[in-house]
Amino acid sequence: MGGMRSADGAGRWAMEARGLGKRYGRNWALRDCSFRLPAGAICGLVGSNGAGKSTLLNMAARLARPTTGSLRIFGLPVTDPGVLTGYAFLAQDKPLFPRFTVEETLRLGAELNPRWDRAVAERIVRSGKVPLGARVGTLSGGQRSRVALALAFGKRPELLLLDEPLAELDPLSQHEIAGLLMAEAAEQGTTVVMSSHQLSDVATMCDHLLAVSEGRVRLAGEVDELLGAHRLVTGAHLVEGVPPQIARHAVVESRAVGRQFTALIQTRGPVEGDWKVTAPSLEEVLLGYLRSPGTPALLTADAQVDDEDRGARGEEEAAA
Amino acid sequence: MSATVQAPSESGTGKQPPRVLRGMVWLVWRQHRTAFLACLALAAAACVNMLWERASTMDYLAGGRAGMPDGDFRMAFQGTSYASAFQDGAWVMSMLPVVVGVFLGAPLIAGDLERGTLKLVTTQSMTRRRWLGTKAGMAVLVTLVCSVALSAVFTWWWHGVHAVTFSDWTGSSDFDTTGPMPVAWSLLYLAVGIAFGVFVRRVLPAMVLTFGLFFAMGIVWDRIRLLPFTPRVITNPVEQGQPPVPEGGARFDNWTVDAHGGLHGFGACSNERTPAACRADKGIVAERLEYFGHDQMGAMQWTWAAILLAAALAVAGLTLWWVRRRPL
Repeated sequence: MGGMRSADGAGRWAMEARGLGKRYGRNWALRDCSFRLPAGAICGLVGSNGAGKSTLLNMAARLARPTTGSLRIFGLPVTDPGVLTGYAFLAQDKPLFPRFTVEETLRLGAELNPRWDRAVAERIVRSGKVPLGARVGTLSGGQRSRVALALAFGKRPELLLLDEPLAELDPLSQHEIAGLLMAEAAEQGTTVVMSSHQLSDVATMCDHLLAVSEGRVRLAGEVDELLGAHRLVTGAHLVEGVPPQIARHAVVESRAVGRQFTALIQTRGPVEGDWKVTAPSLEEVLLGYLRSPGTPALLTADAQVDDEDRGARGEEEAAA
Repeated sequence: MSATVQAPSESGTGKQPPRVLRGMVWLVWRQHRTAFLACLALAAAACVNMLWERASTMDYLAGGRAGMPDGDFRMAFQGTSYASAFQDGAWVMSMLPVVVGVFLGAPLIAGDLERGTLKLVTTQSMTRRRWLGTKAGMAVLVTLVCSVALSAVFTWWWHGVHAVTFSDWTGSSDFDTTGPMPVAWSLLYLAVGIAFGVFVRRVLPAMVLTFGLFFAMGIVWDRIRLLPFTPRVITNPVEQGQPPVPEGGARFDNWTVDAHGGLHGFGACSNERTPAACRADKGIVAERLEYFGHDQMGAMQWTWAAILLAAALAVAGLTLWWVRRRPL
């Protein structure tokens, strides 16, 4: 995998957050956030507006300083300037200098990045038939996204942070940019973290998931593992509240409509009784967790940070 | 693959201008080249114009006196186009700092905050400090080149002309437009413009605030300009009248003095029917003139220039502190 750096495991995790929090004024945008993301993952970052997605991306991109806790990018604390060469960030509005030509925009990448890969950047621009001499301000949304992605991939990042990369694009450009993103990430072995409102995008593009709600992590881990841990059960609504056969499992969300009872459960062993058991879709699991703030968060074993590293966390907090 | 950047000979897309500027310096120049070039071109044009006007004024002064008494000659000069050209030059010099602050300082960082390009530039491989330092450094350089050149030329002109004008060199139109003062003011307003841009994060409000401060400062400035300095004193017996201001000096104040050294207003008895009796009654025995000698001008300007530069550094420090503690 391209992101691997060392044998000691420092390069195994593209992102590691421990007790990470960010406060703006009196409001916590993100609070006590602990998770980790393996190198090579394509991770979807989902959650409602104001849930803390952009805050997390901004902290990873060094645009905002964590209030509490620590965040490591490939083993390096995010406060270390050495992190800068390792990641690329694409903000939601895809800011570029409107009066620069495409060629000048690529030169910006070359001038400011020691590891600049001109061949990759030019290939991405050319494959979209974006004229190099055109001013960025005259390009269409799709072309601008392509130029911004060329700038990001030309940096040869190990970690690519994308804030709503497909928002505000027409369906055709969305499809084109998503394809480009996946192809380049696969070719270069880039770890990708992308926030999105479109659960369908996340379902088709991502193999990992990080769901946040009200500033806290709700779900984290590999998509297949998260889905495999859950079942959707449907049956007759016979007793008041949650039936005992179902209550044995961890109930994420339950609903009784008329005589039908439906629940999303995190299974503890096989489901007994007369229940129709189906595998839930990613959307169903996500909505279940985002709608039920009382349900405990679920992090797969891989996504949980090791407790043995707690000592290091204390040191970093003291240093900050 | 990382060596691609280092190979300028690599076949490009055809027209490839030579890479003179590199790294962050290239970016800052490319982003602000219109403003930088406009400042440099306007300053150059103003310098040429001032040199031309100075030359013709000096020709006029060399030939035109024709035995006229000093006062009459000043009156005559005042009516010429040379005098109005000089006044225009002084006006340009007095506006220089605010032009620098409003058009160079205010948009420097605010433009990136407003457009979001700060997120683009500071997530490349160079630190935010490097970006800020390069931006501020290049703006300071352009400001220095423009203001030093303009001040040198205008000061030279001023030295040739001020003896035949009526204006007093302690006034703002002389004091602030010559020597180190235009440079110091320009650097201060550059720092102020940048600071407003960082605080309000919008180009237009930052420009308006910088402009507003310039006018507010103009009012305060007239009250404090001479405060730190001690004027020189000439005392005459009262019969000789008020002492004349020495050549090149600037009148600060006039008093009348009694035998005990007590000061009275300079017009203490001038409206009485018998001024002599009034003076005898109050014991006034002398007239006192307080003035600043021409040789004090340099020291006074350099003192203020140092104070203004210290203020500029303080504003810059405050801006840096703000940038470091706030998420941008």
